Amino acid sequence: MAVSARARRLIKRRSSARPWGLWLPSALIALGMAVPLVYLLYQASSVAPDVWARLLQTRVPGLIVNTLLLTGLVTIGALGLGLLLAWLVERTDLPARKILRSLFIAPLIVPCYLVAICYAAFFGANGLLEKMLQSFGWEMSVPSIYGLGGAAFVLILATYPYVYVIVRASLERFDSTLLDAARACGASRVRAALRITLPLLVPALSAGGVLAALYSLSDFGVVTTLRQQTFVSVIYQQLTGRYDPSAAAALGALLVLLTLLLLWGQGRIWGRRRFASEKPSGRPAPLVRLGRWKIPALALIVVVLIAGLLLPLGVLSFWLVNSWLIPQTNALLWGTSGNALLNYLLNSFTVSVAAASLAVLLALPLAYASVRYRDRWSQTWAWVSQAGQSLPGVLIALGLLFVVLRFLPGLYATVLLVILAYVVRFFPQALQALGSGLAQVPACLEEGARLLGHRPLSAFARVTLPLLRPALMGSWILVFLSALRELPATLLLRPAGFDTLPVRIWTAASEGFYAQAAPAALGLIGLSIPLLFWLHRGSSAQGSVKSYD
Amino acid sequence: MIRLEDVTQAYPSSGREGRVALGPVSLEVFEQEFLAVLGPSGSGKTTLLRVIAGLEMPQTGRVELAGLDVTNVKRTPPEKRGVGMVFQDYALFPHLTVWENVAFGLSGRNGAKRARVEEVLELVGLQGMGDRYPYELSGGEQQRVALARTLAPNPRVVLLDEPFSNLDADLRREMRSEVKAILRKLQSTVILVTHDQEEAFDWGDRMAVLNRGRIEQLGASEEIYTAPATRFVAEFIGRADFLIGRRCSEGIETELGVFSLKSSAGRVSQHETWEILIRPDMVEIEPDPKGGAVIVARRFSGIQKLYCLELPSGQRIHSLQPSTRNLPEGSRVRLKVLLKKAICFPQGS
Repeated sequence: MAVSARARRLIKRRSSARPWGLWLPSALIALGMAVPLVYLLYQASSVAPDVWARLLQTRVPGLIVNTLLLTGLVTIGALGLGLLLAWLVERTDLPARKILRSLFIAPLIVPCYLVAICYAAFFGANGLLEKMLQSFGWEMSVPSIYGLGGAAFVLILATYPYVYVIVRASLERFDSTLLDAARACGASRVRAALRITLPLLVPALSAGGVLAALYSLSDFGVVTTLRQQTFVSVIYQQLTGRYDPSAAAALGALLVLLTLLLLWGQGRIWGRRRFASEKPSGRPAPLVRLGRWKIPALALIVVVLIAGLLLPLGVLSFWLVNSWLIPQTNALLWGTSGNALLNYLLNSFTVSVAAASLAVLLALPLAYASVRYRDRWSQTWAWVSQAGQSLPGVLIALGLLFVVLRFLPGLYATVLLVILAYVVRFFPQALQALGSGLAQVPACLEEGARLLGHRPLSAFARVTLPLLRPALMGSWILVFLSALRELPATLLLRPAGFDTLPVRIWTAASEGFYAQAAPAALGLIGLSIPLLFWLHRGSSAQGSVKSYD
Repeated sequence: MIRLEDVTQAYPSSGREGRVALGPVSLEVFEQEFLAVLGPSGSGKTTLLRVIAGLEMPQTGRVELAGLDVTNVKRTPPEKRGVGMVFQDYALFPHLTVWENVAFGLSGRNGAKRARVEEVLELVGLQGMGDRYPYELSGGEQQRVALARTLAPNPRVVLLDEPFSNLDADLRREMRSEVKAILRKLQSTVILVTHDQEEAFDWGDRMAVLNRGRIEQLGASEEIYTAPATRFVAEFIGRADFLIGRRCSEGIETELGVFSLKSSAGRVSQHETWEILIRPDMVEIEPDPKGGAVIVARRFSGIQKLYCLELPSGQRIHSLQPSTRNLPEGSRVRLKVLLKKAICFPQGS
C-alpha cells in the first residue's frame, strides 16, 4: 500500500527518533575505514598527466596482461581442483573420506609466502632438489619455478581450499530429492549432474572463484618470491626501490578499478535466478562408485597433499635441523640479544592482539546497526566500511601512508600505524563474523528483555552480549590470525627495527638465510594450527543459539 | 484500559514509499477484557501488538494505556509500560535457566524475587523445573515458561502473539484453555493475536477482524459469524458462498427466490447487483428428481458431509448435512435457504 505524502513526511520526522548514540559512532567508524582508499584515489587523480601517459605507454599494458593471466590461471585452477576434491569426498566411495575432508584444508595453515619461499629454495637454481640429485650423481636440469607457471601453481595450492570449503558446504546442503526428480523425468545420471547439480553449485563456485581471483590479485609474497611481475609487486617496488609515490598511486588506482570490475562481474553472474532450495536436505545422495578411477583419484590427492603441505613443511623442518647444527645461527636465534626469536614473537603478538581487539570493538556498533536496523543508512555504512576488503594489503598500506604523511606525520613509522593498517585491512572480517553472529540472535529476545523492564543497554548487555560471545571470540581470532600472518603492509609501515615473525622470515629468506627463517616459520605455523582449528570447529557449530527451537 | 485512536504504522522501506502495516486503526479494550484479533498473515496483527507494547512508534494517532498517553516511545519506552508479551516463538533466553528467565523481569530483594518466581512457576505448573535450560524443554513447557516470565512482573496488560501456533493441534487446545484459566484468575487484560478461527472464537469476549491493516469488524464472535459487516469478513470467517441477485421492490431477487433485507433499504437502492451471503449450514436439501440443483461433489469429514450443488445458472453453493444422510453424486435436489433476513453486499465491494 502506498503512503500519502503527509504520512511520508510524518514517517520521516518520527523515524528521526534514532538512537544517535549508536548512529554517530557507526558513521564515524565507517568513514574512517574508507579514508585510506579514498585518499589513495584522490592522490591518483592528482597525478600529473605526463606520468599517466608514461605509465600507460610503458608499464601498464604488460602489467595488465601479466596480472590477468595469473589471476585467470589461478581462478580456473582453484575452481577445478576445489570442485574435484569436494566432489570426491562428498559424493564418491573414496576411502578415508573423513580424514581427507579436513586434510584438504590443511594447506591453509602455511601462509602462501612461506610456500613460495620453500618452493624457490627447493626447485630454484642451486636449490635443495638440485643438490639432492647431484648427491645421487644425476645431472638433470630442474624446470624453472620462477615466472607465471610457478606463481600460478603455488597460488592454486593456496586458494583451492577456499573453493573446496564453500563447494563442499553447498554439496552437503544439497537437496538430493532434486536429483531423484531429474532422474524420474528421464534424465541420465550425467545429465542430472550437469543440468541440476552443477547449476545449483554456481553460487558456491562464483563465491569461491571470486575469492581465488581476489587472492591472486592482491598477493604480494608469492609473486615477489617467484619473480612474476604484477600490479602489487610493481607498486611495492615503486615504494621501496625507486620511491615514486605518484606512480604507485596511479598503479594503485588501476588495481582498485580491476578489483571493482571483478566484484561487479560476480554480481552479474547471478541474475534473477534462485539457487537455494528452500527445503532442508532430506536423504543423503547416493555415492558414486569410483571403480578403477580410484587409483588416479588417490594419486591426485597424494600429489596435492605433498605439494601443498608436506613439501613446505619438509623443507622448513630440514632447515630447522640445519639451524640447530650451525652454532652461530643457533646462538643468534635462541640467544637473548635483540634479534632473538622471542622478541619477534612478542612484537607479532602485541600488534595482533591490539589490532584484533580494536577491530572487534569498532565493528560491534556497526554490526549492530546494520543487522538490527536494516535501513538504507546502516547498510551504506556497513558497505563503506568494507572498502578495505578484497583490496591488497599493499594498497591499504599505500593509502594509509599517504594520509599519514599528509595529515599526521607524527604517526609515520610507528607501531600504531602498523596496528591501524591491520584494523583497516581486517575490519571487514570482524564485521562479517559479528554480523552473522548477531543475525542468529533473534531481535525478539532483546524486545522481550525490554518488555520485562530492562533499558536498551541493559537488555543488550544481559541478553545479546552473552549470546554473542562465540561470535565475538570467532571474529577476534579471525583478525588476530590474519594480523599475525600479515606481510606486505607490515613491511611498508613498520618502524625500523620492529620486526614481526613474518617480516623476520621474509628478510632472512630474501637474504638466503633459510636456516634463520625456519624456526620463525614453524613457530608461526604452530601458532596458527590451534586457532584455525577453533575457527573451523566454530563454524560447524554455528546456529547453536536457536537449537532449542 | 487500552485505547488506540487513528493509529497508523508504516515500516520504512528501501523504496520511496513506506509500506503501511497498520491503520488507521481505532480500538478500545476494556479492563479485564479478553480480545481476540483475527486476520490473515500480513494483516498487521503483530504490528498492532508491537505498537501497544511500545516496540514500534506509530506515525500518526494516539495510544493510551490506563488513561495515560503513551504514543511517544521515547518518553514511555517498552520497559516502562507494564505491558507483558508472549512472542510467537517464545523468545526464551537460551543462555539462562528457566528460573533465571522467569526472574529476568523482577527487581528487588532476592527473597521476594525467589518467592515470586516459585509462585509463578507453580501457577503454570512448572514447579521443580527451574534448573532446566530452554532447549531441554518440550514445546508446551517452553510455552509455559514464556507465560510465566511474562506474568512474573504483574503486567497490567498481556499481549499474546500467536502463542499456540508452534504447538500441535491437541496440545494447542489444551494449552489454550489452561492459559485462559490462568489469565482469568489473574483478572488480566489480554489481547490474543491469531490466524486460527477456532482459537479466536474460543478465546475472547470480543473479537476483531483485521485485514490489510484495518479493523473490518469488532464484536462478539457469534455476531461476526452471523452478521459479518463486510464481504471480507463474511468470506474469511467460516465457509461462505455468495448468491448473485438483483434489486427489486421487496428486496433482492435471485434464482432461489426473493430475499428480504436486513440492511437499510436506502443503501440497497444505490446498487443494481448484489451478493447474498449463504452459509452451508443454512442450506436445506431434499432429494427431488424434478429439483433445480444437481449434486456435483461431496466431501466427507466425519460427523458431517459437505455437498456441492450446482444451480441452473451454473453457480455453485454448498450445503452441510449430517453424515447419516446419504445422497449420491449426480442426483437432483430441491433446496431451501433457511434465512430470515439476508446479509448482502454490493457486487464488487
